[in-house]
Amino acid sequence: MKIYILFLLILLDTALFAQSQKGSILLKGGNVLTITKGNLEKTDVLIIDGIIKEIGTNLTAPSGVQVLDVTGEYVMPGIIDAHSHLALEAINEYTNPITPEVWTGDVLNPLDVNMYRALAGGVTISHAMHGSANAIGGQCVTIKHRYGTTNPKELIMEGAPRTIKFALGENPTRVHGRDNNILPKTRMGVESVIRRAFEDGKAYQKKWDEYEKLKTAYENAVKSKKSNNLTAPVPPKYDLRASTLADILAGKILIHCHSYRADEILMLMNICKEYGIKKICFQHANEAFKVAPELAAFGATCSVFADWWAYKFEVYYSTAYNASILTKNGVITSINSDSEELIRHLYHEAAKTQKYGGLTDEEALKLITINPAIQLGIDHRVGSIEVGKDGDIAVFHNHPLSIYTLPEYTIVDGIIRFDMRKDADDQRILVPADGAIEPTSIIHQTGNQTHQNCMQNVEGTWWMKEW
Amino acid sequence: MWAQEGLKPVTRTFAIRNANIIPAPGKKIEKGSILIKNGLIAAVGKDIKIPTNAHIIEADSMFVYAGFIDGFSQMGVKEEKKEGDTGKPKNPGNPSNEQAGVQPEVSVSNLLDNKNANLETMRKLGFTTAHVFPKGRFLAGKGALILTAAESSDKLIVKNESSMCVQFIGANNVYPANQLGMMAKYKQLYREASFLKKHEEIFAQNGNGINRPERNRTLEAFYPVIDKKVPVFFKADNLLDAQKALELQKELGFPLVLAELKEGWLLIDKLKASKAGVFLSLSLPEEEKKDTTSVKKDSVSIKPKSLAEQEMERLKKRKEESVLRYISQASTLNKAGIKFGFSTLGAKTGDLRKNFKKMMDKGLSEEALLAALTTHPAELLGVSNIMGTLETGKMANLFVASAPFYDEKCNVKYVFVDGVLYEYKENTNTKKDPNAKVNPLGTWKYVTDSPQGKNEGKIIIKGKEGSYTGTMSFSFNGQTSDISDIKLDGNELTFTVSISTPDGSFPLKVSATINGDSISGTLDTGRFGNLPLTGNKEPE
Repeated sequence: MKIYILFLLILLDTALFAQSQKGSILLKGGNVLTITKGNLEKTDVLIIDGIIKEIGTNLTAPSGVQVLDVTGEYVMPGIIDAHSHLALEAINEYTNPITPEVWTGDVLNPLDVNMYRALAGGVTISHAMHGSANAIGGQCVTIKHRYGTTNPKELIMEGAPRTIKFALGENPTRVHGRDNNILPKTRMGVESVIRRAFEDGKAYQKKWDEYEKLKTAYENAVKSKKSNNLTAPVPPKYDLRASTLADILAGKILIHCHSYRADEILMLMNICKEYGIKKICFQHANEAFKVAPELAAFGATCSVFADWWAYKFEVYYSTAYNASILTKNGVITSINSDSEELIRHLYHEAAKTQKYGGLTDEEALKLITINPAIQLGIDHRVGSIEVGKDGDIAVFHNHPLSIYTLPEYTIVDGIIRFDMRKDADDQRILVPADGAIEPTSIIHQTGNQTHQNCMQNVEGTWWMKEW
Repeated sequence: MWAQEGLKPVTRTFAIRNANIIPAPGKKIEKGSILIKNGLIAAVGKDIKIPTNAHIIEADSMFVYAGFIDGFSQMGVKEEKKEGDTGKPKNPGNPSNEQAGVQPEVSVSNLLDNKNANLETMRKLGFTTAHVFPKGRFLAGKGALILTAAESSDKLIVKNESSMCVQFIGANNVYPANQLGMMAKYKQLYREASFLKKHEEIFAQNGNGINRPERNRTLEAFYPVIDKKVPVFFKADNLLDAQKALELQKELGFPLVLAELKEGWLLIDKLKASKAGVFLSLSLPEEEKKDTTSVKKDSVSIKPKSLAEQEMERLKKRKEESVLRYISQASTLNKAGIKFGFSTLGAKTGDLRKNFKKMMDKGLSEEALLAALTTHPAELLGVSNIMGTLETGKMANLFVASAPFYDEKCNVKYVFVDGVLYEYKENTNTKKDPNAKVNPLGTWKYVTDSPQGKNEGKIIIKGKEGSYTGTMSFSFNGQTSDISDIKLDGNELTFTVSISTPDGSFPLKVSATINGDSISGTLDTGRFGNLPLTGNKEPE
């Protein structure tokens, strides 16, 4: 009997593996909110092998393709969270003010059940970011919530551009300056640390460019047999950190910068101008509304909270109208969560901009769909319902911006990853074999909670563990 | 001939006669004999010629196996004296290599102690060889293949600097503090080492016109790995660490061995694709004992289960399924055609034989289990030509036991390591006798042995039959605790005692047999396993 159970378990494991591939599905009769091409009533969406193949009426599904009746429901693109720390084993390599060489894609944890809960809130993609302890933090990774796989690499959204986390203000100055007495201790120090790092990257690139020239010359000499008196050139010291900085300067990595104050936002924009960096997204950016015209002129984007502020001094001067003001000034803006709790109701967060700023339905929904997609460089793939884009869909009962809305289905690459009717209590993929099972109880915890957030992993700041 | 006595052996020729010999997994010679000469196996078979100067071991109805080979552990390795993490580091981003745990150049050959108690414990279980590595952190250092017994620490070594050993243990508040930094650090060091190596080669050919390469011991340690002459062992005791190791291998291309693997059934395809060597953990989770008495009670009552009770049942069921998968790991991988050995790094020695049986109960054949303890690790460690089976010409590493190796009653009587005999007398006073009359009162001085070291103390029993009281002291934490539930059943004494640690208080159970003035039994530490306990009564 035990052997039989074992055999079934092996089958179950292989089934989970097969699940992470692309799927096909026909969503029939829903109110399709395309985001970019208006709303289409009673319209079908056909997804084949993870790609939206057709949008129209009276579509028929090829044989073997599941048909999902969504008559009367709202069909929108899967929600995208541009600031998250889900599915990561570690968040902050807080031991140095500059750590661009580390990469969150190295430490993905596909077993994080918070990914399932995010799916239950209609979120299909999140930007798994490094924390905000360092002025130049680690590279981040854009992941699709393919919950069910045990392979970390399967979460990575293929083809998504490289991104990196910068952080300004109180976090890096506290972690490094105040706690460890090293640069930076002030906002001036943060700027100098970033400039030094960029200069290091520039110098590194120069050295390697020179080496490549010498190498080519040497190889040509060898080919034409004129290499008797020449020695092969020796490469410069390999430095993953400096080489990443060089990549940032070359525009190969999109900067996402944790920032709050208007002055530091302007400071970083000036640095970007000086070094020829064209794309930057300011995260949190509570005072961005003060410099909205400057942001729009530069082409910088912002990813903000709906209404979180006053948890630190640098976040005092804020407003719930931030997202609306930025939008009305032509800055591409998204609303994010930076929290495994808030990610579960980003649709409500977006709706708040209708009360604070009077954004239209489409403007509000753009904040959690096409705009974060643009900021992550994946807008050619997701963020709207258009033929040719990925089959990432969230189906809601009642309009997603309505207080009465309920997420019903969340589809990633054409596979239903959340179904409200099949929402079992225990969604763990891997169950630990040791440890006691605690009976369920409701405990109100304060203080020592370990949220997954920007300041996680940072020792010595226990009293300020949030943000 | 008994190495424990410190005398030079009278003879180096031994013959084991009339035993059940298992020369290789799946093979058996009944009433066979083995001839050992000068450290090597000279002959194995049913009728072999035994010279007159041979010391003969009559092994009727006993079982002879090739010595077990442990793929990854730290038995016999000394603790490194650390200067101590004193307060806040000055420059956490650029710490010393020791603080960072980045010491790939440290060789375990300088850190061995042939008198270490663990070696004896493992020898008694039939292990004659082990691949061990330094007690470091992230890049712990170079491993070596050692015997579990030798005249001196140096003489333990069979194959020196045979591996690079890595564990995902972050540094204390300095770079790299966690997996993010460690992954980047490994890639940085590996690639930097490749470049430095190239620089040295270019300079050696013709140094004119280029700067000399600067020596870097840390990077030098990577050279044999880059040349693919030495594999990298990663401690992979959880799914994510195993996959990080596999990713590094994919990116950098070094020969990889995954050790202490526990969740391997989720990695079968990746293991095959990477051609990584595999050593499974011999540490297995506890199985829930089925409580049959309560089932009977429940079938009588008709009280419906509350939601919380139902949820508890569901959670228990999932945990049971999970435990089953962990214990079946070896069987699952074997059926998938993956060759593996075992590592004892995290296992409690008292549980090893029990775990052999547990794995066999879940479908691992005796042959496959024995192969994973002998022939497969020999192959994975590159020593198949000198150990792993009982064949002429191989090292005399073997043991003789009273029962098959997976049997709970198995007692190892004789162990040969490199042709040197170690004999273990069976503890005759451990037989439980419910009719014996013994006196438990008094002060018992006791000793327990664990891989972490010796612990000793005094057990004091007072009072009279039916109402015993007492205390137990422990040297490892300096505490003395009250003992309770003291029962005496014939000559078997049992009681429970609680010790408090920073992690909370743990209940321990002692069950021992009293034989006059001596006591011997086990100290059950719950999930940390059973430790052997022996002692003597102090005179009044």
